[in-house]
Amino acid sequence: MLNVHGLTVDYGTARAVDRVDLTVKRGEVVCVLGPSGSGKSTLLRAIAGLEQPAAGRITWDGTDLTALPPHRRQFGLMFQDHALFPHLDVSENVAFGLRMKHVGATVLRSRVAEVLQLVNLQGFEHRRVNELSGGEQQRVALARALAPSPRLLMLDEPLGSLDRALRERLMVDLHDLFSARHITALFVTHDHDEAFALADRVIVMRTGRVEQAGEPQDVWTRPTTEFTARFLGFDNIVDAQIAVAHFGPPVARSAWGELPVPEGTPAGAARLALRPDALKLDANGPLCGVVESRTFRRDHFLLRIALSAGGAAEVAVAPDALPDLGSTVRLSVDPEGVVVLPVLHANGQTKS
Amino acid sequence: MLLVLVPVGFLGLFFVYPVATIIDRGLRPGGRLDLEPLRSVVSDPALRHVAWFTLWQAAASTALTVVLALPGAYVLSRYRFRGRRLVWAAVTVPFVLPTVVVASAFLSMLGPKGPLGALGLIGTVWPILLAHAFFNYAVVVRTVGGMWSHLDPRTEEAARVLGAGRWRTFRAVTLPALRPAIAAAASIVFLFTFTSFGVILILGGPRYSTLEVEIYRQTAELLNLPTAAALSIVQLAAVIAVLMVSGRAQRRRAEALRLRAEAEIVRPVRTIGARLALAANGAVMAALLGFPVAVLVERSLDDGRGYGFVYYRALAHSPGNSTFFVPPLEAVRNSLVFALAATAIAIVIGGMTAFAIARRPQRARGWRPARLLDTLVLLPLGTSAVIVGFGFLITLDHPPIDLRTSPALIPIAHALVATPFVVWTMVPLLRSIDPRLREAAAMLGASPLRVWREVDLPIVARAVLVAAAFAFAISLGEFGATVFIARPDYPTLPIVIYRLLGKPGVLNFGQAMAASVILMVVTGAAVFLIERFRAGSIGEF
Repeated sequence: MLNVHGLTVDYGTARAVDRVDLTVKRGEVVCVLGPSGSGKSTLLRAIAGLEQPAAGRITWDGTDLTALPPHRRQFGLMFQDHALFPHLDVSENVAFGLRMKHVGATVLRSRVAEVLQLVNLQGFEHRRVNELSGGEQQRVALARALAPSPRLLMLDEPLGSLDRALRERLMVDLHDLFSARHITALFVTHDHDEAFALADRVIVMRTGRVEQAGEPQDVWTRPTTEFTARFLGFDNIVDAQIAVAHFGPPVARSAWGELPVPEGTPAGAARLALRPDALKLDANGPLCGVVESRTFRRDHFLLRIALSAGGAAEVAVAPDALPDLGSTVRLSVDPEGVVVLPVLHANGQTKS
Repeated sequence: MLLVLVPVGFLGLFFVYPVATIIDRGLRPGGRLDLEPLRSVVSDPALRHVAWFTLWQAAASTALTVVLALPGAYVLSRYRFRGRRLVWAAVTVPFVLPTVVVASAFLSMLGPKGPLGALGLIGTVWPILLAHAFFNYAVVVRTVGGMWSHLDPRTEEAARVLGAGRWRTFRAVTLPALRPAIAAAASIVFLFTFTSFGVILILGGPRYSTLEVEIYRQTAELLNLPTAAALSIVQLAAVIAVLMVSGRAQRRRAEALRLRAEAEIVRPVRTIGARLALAANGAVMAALLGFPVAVLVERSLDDGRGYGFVYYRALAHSPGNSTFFVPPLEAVRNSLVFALAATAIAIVIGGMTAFAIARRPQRARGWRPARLLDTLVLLPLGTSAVIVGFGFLITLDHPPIDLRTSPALIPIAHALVATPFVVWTMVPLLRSIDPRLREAAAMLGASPLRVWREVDLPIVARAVLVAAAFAFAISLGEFGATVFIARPDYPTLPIVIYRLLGKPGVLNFGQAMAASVILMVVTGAAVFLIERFRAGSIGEF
């Protein structure tokens, strides 16, 4: 089990990673999710031993690794953009880690064949890595990291440089691989689809700190901060005052008008985050506004609606139900799509 | 740390110590500060004349080279035609030819019995200028042509569309973009011709002498060491000034330009104008680069009664009344042995230096020794071989280091001259290695030493071969330093050629031609290998 406690990494005077705690249990897949510059790659490099932490401890099954050089940690790291050895062919790249472990020639050959099969690259043994496509290079990098059977596999934006279709296919492959081989993995990405598809647990990072941690389902349905909510695509955020009635569900009075909130929401000041699908065009809905812009988004249109009560909301609609620009529409709100965020007070403390 | 200490020790002992001794001799001839020799050197009209000639012949050679080579750079970088790669390689050969060979070739071509003897150019400054252009044609073609073949042609097309004529476009768009490359090439050519030695010693006759030649004459012929030392100080100061100016020109070369892949730019020869340009430049290359070499070969075979190998056979025998202790052909063996040893030393010292420089951490402390090395290793290139040789002569011939009788002195001097080339070949490649490759190797369980062996070394292996071939060619042709320290019983081939040229008689001259051809062939083979390896490495990493 990997245990990271209070890990802090400085780049010159800038603090890239700030007192991060994190555990990865055996067989668990953990994802560090965050925008670029959030320190997630640095965190990974520090765990790998490629960056010297300013403070904190890294342990594996209780043994302190903090001072151990990277080549003795028995961790694997798959680099962003792969970092394949250009002077070696595919099988030599994959065999590299096994050679470092002084594995015998026969075992080495069969292990190389095994992992190449695992990533569907049989027959590529003697190809030069520069001749491979992006997806093939990605598979070689994965095979190379897997071959020496590292106790922890780390992946830095594993699908980052690939095009969309390929990414989605490889995401499924990676998921199957992780579960079939009981691989203990820690990976970083800025793409929440990737994180939710692959991870048993998600850690959201912001400017070097852990913003929120939990199971993908929980993080998705209940972001605890505005940063996480916005990062996950909750674009409609509005201040509100929650009132609890004796009968019926609680109601939020917001700049947009009255909004329903989930049962059990406590009374008081709050900030509401609405999932993109929480707002729907509905002729009998309580909210009213004018269509300001329409943007085509592959399988839907994104409308920006100037609400008559003030403020603007973004709503996704199907292309067949598209209202005209400048037309007045009414909207209804699904209370299950509304998340109540704690309000940040002036002293920086959150109140739940 | 060892990476830094060994090269610093080597350069300190064999470069800094001798040069410091020269300066000491020049400034304190009697053991205490005495500026008299320096003052007399500076105020002596004859020596002033030498300094002036050094300067203006370098300027004139540079101008001539640029004017002749610029059109060549254009056709070689912009047109696609059969044999383009071959021509590109062929124009490089003169650059590595030994100075002595080039001087012999021009002597054979322009001398009284040569095909162009009627022009009466021997005794004028023209053979010197032409020989310098012969040498440095490749510098301009490679530096400027390398840039030209990657310039985005669309800026020129834009100018044409906006109404500029051909010539106007060249002056307003192309030339400004090329100016840094031209300045860099010109400053390199100036540096080389400013410190030119062999060419002027042989072609200059009694009339023309540069500072380098004068240092040699004061030492070897007049045995006037204080004057030689004082002259060396003047030369050192001048060279450092030239180096600084050229260094600035080179840095400007790194200016941001939109560069394109070469394949998008070269175009086939279609118009009549293009054909004419190609033909004219082909003629210049043939006349300037090909003809002297052809005459050299012809003269080495023509014994007056017909063609044969008379002169080559004569090289195998030691003439009874000669100053040679050994048959000239033995010098071939000496040259090869020295070149192998010099290459080995240059690769070890230059390789360690290159690794130390390239591995310098970007932000960590403790890089000062490596930085010092950075500067130190480039100095021998700038200082001129004559100063290296002169320094060896006056320092290493008595305790604490007495290498006077040791033939090891020659490969060490050659290695000193070749080391900067080795470093320059390897450092850019080492710096271009993606640091993540080393990290990837470490993550796969490779210790730091293993990372070096598995990642750095294989990737630079090819550059090491190129550097070795370069060092080998430099050592084979090295003349300026060798002429001070070569012992009569261990002559190198360039020394033998020089001595043969200095003696009267058809046989001696013919033998000089034959020996020059042998030297040219051996050096040419080394250059051929360079081109082979270099061609294979393009776009590889």
